[in-house]
Amino acid sequence: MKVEERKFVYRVFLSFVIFVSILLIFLGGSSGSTGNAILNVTSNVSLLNFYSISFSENLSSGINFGEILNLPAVNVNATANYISSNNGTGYYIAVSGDGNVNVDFCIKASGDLESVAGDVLGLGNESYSNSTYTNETLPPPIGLSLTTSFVKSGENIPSDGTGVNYYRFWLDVPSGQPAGAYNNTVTFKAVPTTSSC
Amino acid sequence: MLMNKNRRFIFAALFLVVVVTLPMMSAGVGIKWSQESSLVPENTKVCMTYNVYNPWPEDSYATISLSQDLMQIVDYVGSDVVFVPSGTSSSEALPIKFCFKTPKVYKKDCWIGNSLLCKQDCTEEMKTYEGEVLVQEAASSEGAQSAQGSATQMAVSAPLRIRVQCVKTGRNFTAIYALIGIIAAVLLVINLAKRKREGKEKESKNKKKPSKKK
Repeated sequence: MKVEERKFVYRVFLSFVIFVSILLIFLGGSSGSTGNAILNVTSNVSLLNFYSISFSENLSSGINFGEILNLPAVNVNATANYISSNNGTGYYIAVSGDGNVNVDFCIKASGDLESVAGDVLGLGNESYSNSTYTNETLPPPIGLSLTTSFVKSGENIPSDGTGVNYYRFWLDVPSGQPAGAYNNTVTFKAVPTTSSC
Repeated sequence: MLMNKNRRFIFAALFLVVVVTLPMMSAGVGIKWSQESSLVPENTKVCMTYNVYNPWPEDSYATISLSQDLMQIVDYVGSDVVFVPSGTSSSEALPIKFCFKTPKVYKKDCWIGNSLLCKQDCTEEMKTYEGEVLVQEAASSEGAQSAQGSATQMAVSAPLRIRVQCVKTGRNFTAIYALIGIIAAVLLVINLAKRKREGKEKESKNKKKPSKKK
């Protein structure tokens, strides 16, 4: 083969290699695909669930214990603990009839009660109890201390328009507690029944 | 006159009875959702929509957020505060969107570094992120700030489970193909340049050679 012919074949070969490389790159060069794409959501469960809750006026206004004049104070009632007509509590959460799942309630506090001056009244001094009916004895007068983690406080409350969860609250104040207004935040979270808090 | 007085008294009493027996509820929040789990390939962006509603007699403001376990993969959560008018039923629920990108969590077998000539066998267990979507009533008042006690806050939640799918892939030789192509292209360019240069030299030699006359 003459030199010129060899050079021509060489150039054709290189062109062929370039063409095949480009082709292989566009074909991916591998099986399967990478996951770098924007996709619509793929669901393997499709349920339509809904529920709604609302506070009573008293609960929406906050849990107040009024002015405490003498220390130590034990089991100071929140101001709306026995406010309704049958000596029931004014603190409750209602579940709307516009819902299709029963709910459990979870409760927690943000932390200790603190005054603006930085004095602290330990969270263990604040307690609550709950029930699905209210009168003078319900919710019961023996309460559980609030914590900073959610715990269940009322389960399987229905969404048929009758579901209500009632609460009562108490506060202990030990002697020697500095004077001041002490506050924290209590959060009530509803979850579908059997879900964890 | 006595009849009028009695009538007024009856109306007043009736009014009081109605007012007292009306449920004394504040604003509320509701959540509506159509999926509790999602299977998404790794390194993929996905958007999901949940809905909020408020069938109660007062307007409310709500914020949507995700629990900590889900926040690590989420990069965008809808608007900050959503106004939910009173009487918004579940059928009129307002959509709230949030987006996230699943991380790269599965190991690849790479020949060069962490990204070249890789394959993925998907022998590991599927990675799952479990948490909840939270709709909270935005704080509208100071609650018991000035008195002795606790402000209150309400929230509703729905569970959400994100399962990250591993996509099995064979070894990716794209880098090798690209390298071969580039080398071939460079050689071709050199060859063509050489040919052009040789052609020019030949031309100039032919011009210099005088024509022989007898």
